Amino acid sequence: MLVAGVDIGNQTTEVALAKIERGQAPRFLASSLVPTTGIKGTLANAAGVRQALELACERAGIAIENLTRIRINEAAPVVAGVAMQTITETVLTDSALAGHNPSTPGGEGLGVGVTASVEQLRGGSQGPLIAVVPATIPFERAAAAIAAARSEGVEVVGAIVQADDGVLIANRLPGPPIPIVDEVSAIEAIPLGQPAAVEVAPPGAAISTLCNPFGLATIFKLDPATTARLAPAARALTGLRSAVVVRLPAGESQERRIAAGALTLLGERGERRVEVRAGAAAIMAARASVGALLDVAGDPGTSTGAMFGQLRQELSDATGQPEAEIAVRDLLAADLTVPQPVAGGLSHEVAPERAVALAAMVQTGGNQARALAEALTAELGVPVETGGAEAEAGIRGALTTPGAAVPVVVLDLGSGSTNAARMTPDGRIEQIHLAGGGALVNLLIGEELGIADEEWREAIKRNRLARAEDLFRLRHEDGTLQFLQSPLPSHLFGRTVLVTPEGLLPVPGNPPVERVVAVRRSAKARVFGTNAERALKALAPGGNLRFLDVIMLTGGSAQDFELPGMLAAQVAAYGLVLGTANVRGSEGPRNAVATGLVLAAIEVAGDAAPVSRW
Amino acid sequence: MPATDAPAIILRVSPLAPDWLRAAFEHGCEEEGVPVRVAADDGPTDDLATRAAAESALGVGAGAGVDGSVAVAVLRDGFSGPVLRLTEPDRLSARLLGADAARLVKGMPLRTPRPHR
Repeated sequence: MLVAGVDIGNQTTEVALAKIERGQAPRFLASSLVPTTGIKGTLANAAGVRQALELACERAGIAIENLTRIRINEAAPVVAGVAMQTITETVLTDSALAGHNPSTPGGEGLGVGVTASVEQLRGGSQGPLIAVVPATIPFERAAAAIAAARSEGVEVVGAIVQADDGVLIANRLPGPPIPIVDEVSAIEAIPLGQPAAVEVAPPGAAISTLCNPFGLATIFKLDPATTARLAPAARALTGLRSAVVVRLPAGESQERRIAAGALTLLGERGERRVEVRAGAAAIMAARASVGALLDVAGDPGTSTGAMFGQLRQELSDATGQPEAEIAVRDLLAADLTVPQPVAGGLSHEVAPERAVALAAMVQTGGNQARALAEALTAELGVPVETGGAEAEAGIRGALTTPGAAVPVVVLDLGSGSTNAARMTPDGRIEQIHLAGGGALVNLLIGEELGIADEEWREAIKRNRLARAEDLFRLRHEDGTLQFLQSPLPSHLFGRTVLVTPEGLLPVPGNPPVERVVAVRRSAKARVFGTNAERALKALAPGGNLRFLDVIMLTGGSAQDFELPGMLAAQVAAYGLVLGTANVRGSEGPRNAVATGLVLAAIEVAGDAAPVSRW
Repeated sequence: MPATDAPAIILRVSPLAPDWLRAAFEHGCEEEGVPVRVAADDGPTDDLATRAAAESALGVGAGAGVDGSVAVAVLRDGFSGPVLRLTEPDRLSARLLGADAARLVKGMPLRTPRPHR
């Protein structure tokens, strides 16, 4: 008989196709993988299932009608969604600042004075003045005006310049250098006649006064309350080579605060409330303490409440269940730092703000899989049945890996969730489904690097980086220097690039290689590292990881170029062996569930071939 | 060491190239903080640029030839020839080309990565 196993995942639908004859091991004819259509566990999956079956049948040289039986996974009852909430926000109430980091500021030092148009420096005040130079004034004229004012005894202690002219002006000023910050695009937003400070650090150094709240307090004579309010603004300037801060007339901008709020976790072992601002570790400790999770709620009127409302609505839309019936069964929290636009900034400044990302998993009704099986039977004209628990099929499939044996833990690294199952030597299977997977990794990478495009987030997750150091030199992220035969295209020069099979792609915003690598690896650790630890603790006898032996990775993220190594290093501390599955010796970590569904069909038919031999 | 041997981008200009073109290119280099030295020469733009690059201790040179165009060439890792070019420069684009020549020296992303070609 010809049997097809179909595994519908959050992101991909996979098929394994085999010929099974009495008394013989099944012969696998073909596999296929297509994107899942619709949300996992809904009728919308049918189109993707059909496509995957057609592809596998074509590869095997048969028609779908020739199939004896099709087995689909009883989609693990999970839908995972991710959301992020910024819990701090920089709002400037008393100052405007340009923490903009022009590549070539002019002069150096700290200048504190009152802002004045460069064409009216000689208007009466003896200073100290900060010259404001719009792009309409050529650098020669600006330099001449400042020099003329200084020769008449007007103290000009710094300049704010709209065009990229800082060095050109500085080079044309006689006398001691003054700090000049250029490329301030919103120069018209700088009020004249207001106290201001300009700071430029020497090449290779960072400013030291304007990024210090007490430095600002000293310059602008601030009271303690104002100093505290300006502290986040000072933080936005940390590490920059140059900055401008202008004191605004009081009351020009308004303060806005959002309460982050708290989560209430209801579990089998009771209820716990945890403030979101306490961070991911506190949230996960509360999550662990309530045992099996029954539901989660956020305080109404807070950003956390809004986040859960949104999550519930998304999951309701996805599953068709009423919002009130959506129960959150697991939660994964991850801390992150997101660049947020600074309200009151002059040149699109961003300040690093703390945030917490959450992935939540809800249960959907089990009858959806049966409904899908019935619909597919009618559509394809071949009996379609649900093939038992997904975890069991996953283990059976993973055990076809050469060298694999029970006892084993299979860790399925999916896009929406992380699922784990343990099989003991006597054949018992325990399983756990956890919120959070590849999609949350993408969210963390994108938010921390300020990249909104999902394709870019995915590409950064999947590829190594390099820096185009020179027209002919590519410095890879591990330090390897590669010499090229022909010059790199000029748009790649000096940039951080992804090394993809399709070629080199410049990373948006040109962040340093080290930063992207750090964000990428830490995002994987915060999601899969955390979930691996949680899953293994839940499955290990007595919660002690040392009582486990072998861990096999399956699922899309098991194909990641660095994740298996990271997880292996993590569990090595417990003396555990971890490796990536190679299903049927040929499929890599893919196709485990689909293969397991086919193998289970043999046992259903009473033709059991030993699992370890298939 | 004589000043003429100090590391600098070298710009070789034809007598027919306008003064503003030379000045704009020099200002671009100056804003980026990379020294530039001008030498009178004559010939096709690409030849001037390639020669200038070979002569520059930084391996980056530029040429402004008789046809009004301007190009930046490099001498690197065995490669010698123009990599950036403006066929009809104006003040702004010539200044940006100067800045980009300097950025080639500094290993920084170029100001105008595509329009040059």
